[in-house]
Amino acid sequence: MNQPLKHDPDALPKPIFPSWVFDHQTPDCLEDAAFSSGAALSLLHVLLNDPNNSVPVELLRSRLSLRAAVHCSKIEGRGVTEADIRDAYLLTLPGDVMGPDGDLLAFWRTGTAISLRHSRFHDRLQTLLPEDMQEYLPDWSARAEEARSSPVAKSVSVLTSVFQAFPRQEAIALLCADVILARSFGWDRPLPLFGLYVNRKTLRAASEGEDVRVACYIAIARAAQDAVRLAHDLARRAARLRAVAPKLRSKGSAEAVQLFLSEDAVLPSTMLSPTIRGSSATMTARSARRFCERLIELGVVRELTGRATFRLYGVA
Amino acid sequence: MVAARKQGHELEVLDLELDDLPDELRWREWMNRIEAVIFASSKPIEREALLLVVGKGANIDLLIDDIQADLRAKPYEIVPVAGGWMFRTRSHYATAIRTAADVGEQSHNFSEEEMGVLCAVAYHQPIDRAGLADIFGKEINRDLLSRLRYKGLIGNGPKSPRPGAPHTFVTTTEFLATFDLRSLRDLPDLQINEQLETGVL
Repeated sequence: MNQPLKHDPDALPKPIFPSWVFDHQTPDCLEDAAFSSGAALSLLHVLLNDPNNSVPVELLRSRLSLRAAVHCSKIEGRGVTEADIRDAYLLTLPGDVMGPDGDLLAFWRTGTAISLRHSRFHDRLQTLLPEDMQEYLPDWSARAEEARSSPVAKSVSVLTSVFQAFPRQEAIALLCADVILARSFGWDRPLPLFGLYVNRKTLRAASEGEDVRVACYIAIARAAQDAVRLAHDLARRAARLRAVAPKLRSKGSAEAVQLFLSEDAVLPSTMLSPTIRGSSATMTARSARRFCERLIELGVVRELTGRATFRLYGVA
Repeated sequence: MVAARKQGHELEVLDLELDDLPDELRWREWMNRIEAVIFASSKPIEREALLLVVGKGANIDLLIDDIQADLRAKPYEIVPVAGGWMFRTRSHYATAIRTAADVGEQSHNFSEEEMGVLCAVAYHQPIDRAGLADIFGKEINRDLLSRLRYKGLIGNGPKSPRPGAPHTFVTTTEFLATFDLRSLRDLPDLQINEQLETGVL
């Protein structure tokens, strides 16, 4: 773990995830499980709404989307690694096909990029669903949102509805649950949480009409715990990157730093040059590569693949 | 199908709303259009395409349900494939069709090797030629891969992060349709890792 910079006024307090959230053991009754998930989610909620914006939320979302893709790949029986999924997603040329691994990451990234503030967010979610599922979505989500129950229970309701009707659409059921959760909390965009830990066993039980609330509460508590720890960790790393940013003299460096603060992995040859993604600033291929090497020298970015070519960089 | 099209001067304009027809006939006409569109295509037809031939108030799913009901006694049906719909003979008649075997040009006559490569791509995608060579213990002929690509069953996937950056191969929606799969998950399981079942706890 990197030490937070002592002089940094924006540094968050020490990462604290109080042990009483889980009370040293896995809760097995509804009450304990619900308590754990509620406690963990409130800690996460505070971090996501930090007035100092210390947590790079987009980066957090990007990392968690990758983890959700890995988790879903496991559920679907492909079981590929983070590295496989990153490669499939980032190394596909426009017009070519990403294949199942890249598609899964694209699914989570697109799904969690949907702005829930937008009144037509349902339509955008709907377009991610296969034809035969689309017409049911409004009903599923209306039923969940009208339920008089806790946020997590509402999400479990939508998860169960989706999965009972379409028992092979795990990723979609999990994303819908995460969308409803984010809606309940008033978040701008969904964060992959159900997509991190709800496993095949729980999903199967849901499809058979069992009450899976305990399993889901626990899964959500774990996911929120991971997200809280990751958020603290990324906040510290982001602070280090922001601290060195003024030293970077190359053209477009501000925009490039911003990209590193929102993307899990950066492929310089497409994401920094010819234009820096998400901006109109330009960089040549050579200066993009040198920029990344410079960030490594400064210890704020690391190379993720260990390869000599197609190197990917991410906040360290 | 009398009022199916209004005669334009040069262009035939499709009357979507069919306001001049009584409800029942209008519905029947919409059903027929959808059936015709799906019938005429060898590829799955997506919802957006079907919405172009019916009126605003029409529910595609209900229309297809009604078509299905009419087809109940027929040896073929409409099935959802790869995000759209297409016609399929019922699997019960597979043997009869195979016996008649006169499917000639239309069928993909795969050689054993082509079938092997296609399977390898399906299960190991994205995979490049070097990866295929590892599986088969020999180089895979470029022509063979081109044939599969020409048939629309495989396409270019992500670049492989190796020297020379060869592209990988992935299967296409045409592949799913050809083998009657709704998604890659319907491929027969080669190995199910039971460890994956172990839970959250």
